[in-house]
Amino acid sequence: MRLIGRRNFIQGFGLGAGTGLLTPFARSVVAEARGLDTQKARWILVHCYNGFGHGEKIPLVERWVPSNRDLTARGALPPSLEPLAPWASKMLILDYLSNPFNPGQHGTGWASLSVRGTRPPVKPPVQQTEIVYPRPTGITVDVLAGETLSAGRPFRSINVATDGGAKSCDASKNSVSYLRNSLQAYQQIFGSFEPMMSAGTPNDIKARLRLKRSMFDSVIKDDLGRMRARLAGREKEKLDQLEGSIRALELQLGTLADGPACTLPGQPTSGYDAGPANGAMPAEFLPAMVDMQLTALICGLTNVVVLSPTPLRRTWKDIPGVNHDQDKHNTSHADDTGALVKIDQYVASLIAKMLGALQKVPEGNGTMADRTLATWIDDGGGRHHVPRMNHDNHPVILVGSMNGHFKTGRHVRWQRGEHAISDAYVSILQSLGIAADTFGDPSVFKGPLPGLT
Amino acid sequence: MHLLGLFATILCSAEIGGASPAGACTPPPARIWKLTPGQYDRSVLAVFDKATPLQRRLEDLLPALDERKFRNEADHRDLPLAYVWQLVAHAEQTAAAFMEEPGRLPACVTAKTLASRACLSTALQPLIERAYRRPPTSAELRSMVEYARRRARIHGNRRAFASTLTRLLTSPSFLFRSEIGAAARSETFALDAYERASALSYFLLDGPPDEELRAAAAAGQLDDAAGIEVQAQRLLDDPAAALGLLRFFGEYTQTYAVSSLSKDGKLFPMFDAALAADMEKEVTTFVAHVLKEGGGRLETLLSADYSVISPRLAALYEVPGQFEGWTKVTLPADQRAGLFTQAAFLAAQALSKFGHPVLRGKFIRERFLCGDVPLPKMDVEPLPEPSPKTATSTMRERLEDHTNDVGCRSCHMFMDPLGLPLERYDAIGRYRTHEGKHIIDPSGALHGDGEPVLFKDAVEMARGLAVLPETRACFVTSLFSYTYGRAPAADDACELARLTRSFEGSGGKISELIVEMVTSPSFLYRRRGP
Repeated sequence: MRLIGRRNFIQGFGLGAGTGLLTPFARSVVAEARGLDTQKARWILVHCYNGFGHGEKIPLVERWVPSNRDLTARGALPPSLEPLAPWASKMLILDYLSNPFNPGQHGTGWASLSVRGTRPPVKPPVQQTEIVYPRPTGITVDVLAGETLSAGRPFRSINVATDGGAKSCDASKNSVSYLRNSLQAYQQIFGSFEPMMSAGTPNDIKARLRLKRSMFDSVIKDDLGRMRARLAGREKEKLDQLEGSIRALELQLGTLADGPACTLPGQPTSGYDAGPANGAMPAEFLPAMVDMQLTALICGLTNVVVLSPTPLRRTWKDIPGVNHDQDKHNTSHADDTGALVKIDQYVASLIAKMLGALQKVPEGNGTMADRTLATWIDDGGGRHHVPRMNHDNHPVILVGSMNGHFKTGRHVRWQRGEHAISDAYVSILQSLGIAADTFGDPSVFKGPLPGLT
Repeated sequence: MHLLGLFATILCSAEIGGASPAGACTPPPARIWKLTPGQYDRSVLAVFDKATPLQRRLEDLLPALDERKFRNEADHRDLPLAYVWQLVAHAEQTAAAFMEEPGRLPACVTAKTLASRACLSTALQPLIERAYRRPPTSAELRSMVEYARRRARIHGNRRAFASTLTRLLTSPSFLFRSEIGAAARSETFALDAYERASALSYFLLDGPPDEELRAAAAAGQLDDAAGIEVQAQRLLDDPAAALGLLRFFGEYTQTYAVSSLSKDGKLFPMFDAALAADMEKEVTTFVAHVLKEGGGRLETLLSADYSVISPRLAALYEVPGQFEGWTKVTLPADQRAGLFTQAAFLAAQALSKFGHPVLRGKFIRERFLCGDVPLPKMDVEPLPEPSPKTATSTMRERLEDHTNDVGCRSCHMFMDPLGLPLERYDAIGRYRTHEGKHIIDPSGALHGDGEPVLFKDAVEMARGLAVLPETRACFVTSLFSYTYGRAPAADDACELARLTRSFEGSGGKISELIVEMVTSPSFLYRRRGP
């Protein structure tokens, strides 16, 4: 449903006037509202752990590596990646990347996404699963990307997990929360729009948008103004942030109403919580969460989504195509290659689903998929899972050429120790249009990966 | 800084006088204080006289457990978009629910003709007063009334009124508590009566002032310390209803989120949601009992030989007898003594398979003794889990091997000897004497500047810590942090020293400490901020 032109909507707010008085955050919102740099890339990051197997049989490196350097060659993709076969010409499989920061058990937590050393926890873990997450010492790559790609959007990124572990943090080393409850996720992502968008004629919806806009205006001009006049210094900053957030909400009302493809998914009927408990993961959980992430991408609520789809404790008994009555942790310890391949295939199918949906949404002269990169990594599980591995042969899968930025359809392998996973991150960030020339621990970083573009 | 040194500093600073109007200590700076999600939920309920049920709880969006000592920090300036997003959605849903309630709307809102100013003013005035926790100024009331009328001309009375309610719940005067006084110009100034009522109420009830407190503020009964004390005593008279106070104890002991813990299902098949809920409830029930009927002393909380338990907990604690409902019982004297040996505390300071002596000792050192334990070295290996491979040794022995390094030991000596006595309790707080085939040695020690204080077991440790002046002083600091929503600053040393002396003088009576806090100039006055 096309309700109101985004540009007109924003102009209707009068955001162009008096921007010199706004806080930096509010200014970024105004810049977005004026249509500057609205064609930012999107990033889908899929991050698994416990994935390498225990090193006795077929580790991840083998499961993900193709039989032919040309990924478009018949039968090149390994069984684990079969669901991505339609995307073979847009894929890059990179391997033999190193990440020396693997001190933890099961998953390396922050380390794999920050490529920095970690500090042991000083308190009991936030969620007391068996994962004892060390504390981060630097920003994770998803947060860094989200700060640029999602500037002015409601969500820097929408991170979904299937357990309580924390994997991302910001530059201040604050943990970034992951959504893991389907009902709460829906309410958090769409709660503010749902009452407005779900019923009535386009004119009704337009009227509701106008009314909400004027409500925000009154809060800012009248209520905030009155309180601000009585405050000084740092206390005023608390109100500045409230104002910036309300301004961004105004913007997003227009964003959501802007495109024909932006239709909210149905609200989940139950609030399944993928928290730290045992049991089987319901079949509908991850597809529902992925649908929400997709809608958020399509509606412009964020440009970065992170999916951590392999729970520590939940089994795969009810997942179609996997039907495995063990969690990935135990499966990995048992070196059950057959089950690990099925889990890989399930994750690959989720990635294919997201890219397929974005391919159906027109954007510019192409589709949204043209400006979307999917990245799939598995951090291996620390020394607990791969005690005999030096973590110098991590594979990374990229799907999406980023409008021809990458020369895709290839398998690229470096020498052991030649490049680190942070080198891949910088190449990825650059492909997304982010001006990054280094990432992670400087003693590990060697420069962007050569030969990819 | 070591524990004893810290308190020496504080006591020396106590001699420095401040310039507050009614005492020697400098009052804290003026500020606004964002409602926590739980306070927000209770405040929304109060706006609508608790008749409009919450469509969902903002508190549910909080992580179950986070690393902050107390989760009500006033200096948290972040109102990120995702959170404001939730606030607005919540406000809209609440307003919509209110609009649907039979008989709640004034006739002028349901009428087809434009609602009159007088009618809207009458309808909105009490709602704004409850939302802002003070009577609105005439300008504020006029602004809301005119907002409703202008929108009503375009959107109709009902939709405009709902939008006005949403605006009310999005207003900073609702979202923030103010401690900025009544337009005072002096360097230090008193909070106005309504701000005092809110300060008292959010501290003790974790919610907005009740009707009696609002009436006391309106009648000028909070203009002196005696009036404040009357209200504080009233609120403390029912500790089980003092949610703010109970929240403090839950966060102080980090026992408020046992339900979110994961325990190994094979090792602990009895650990389920019901038992976890009972564990949490034991702490609050026990605290309320001690405050109301048990003399109210910190020493009792930390070393009582009894608790108030459910049948499930009776089974866990292996207390003989038949139980129906929650019952006060004397616990085995050689096994249990106060909060440190309650299941919630022990389960929270443990991993899924085993109780972690370093975590437990570190928590006691930091939280109950205000000790500062340095961070460990980078990338240190985790403590080995109990397994068939480790069955030849006890945790104590493995820990000694693990920290068999001078650099490690210099810090671990301040933690491990406080955690090792709790080795006699497993990851869900069950008492045990053996680890595999080995008898557990439960001895421990408190290391400080002088000779270490030795304990033969956890019960002796609890009793020892309960009477230490350092424990009482640390408790005062923790309660201060919670009450003021921030860590103490240099300017607070004077007030902390005064409160600590008073707490010592009372023999560690918690209710007396609370009354002392809320009637002090530091609680009731502010100074102009930077």
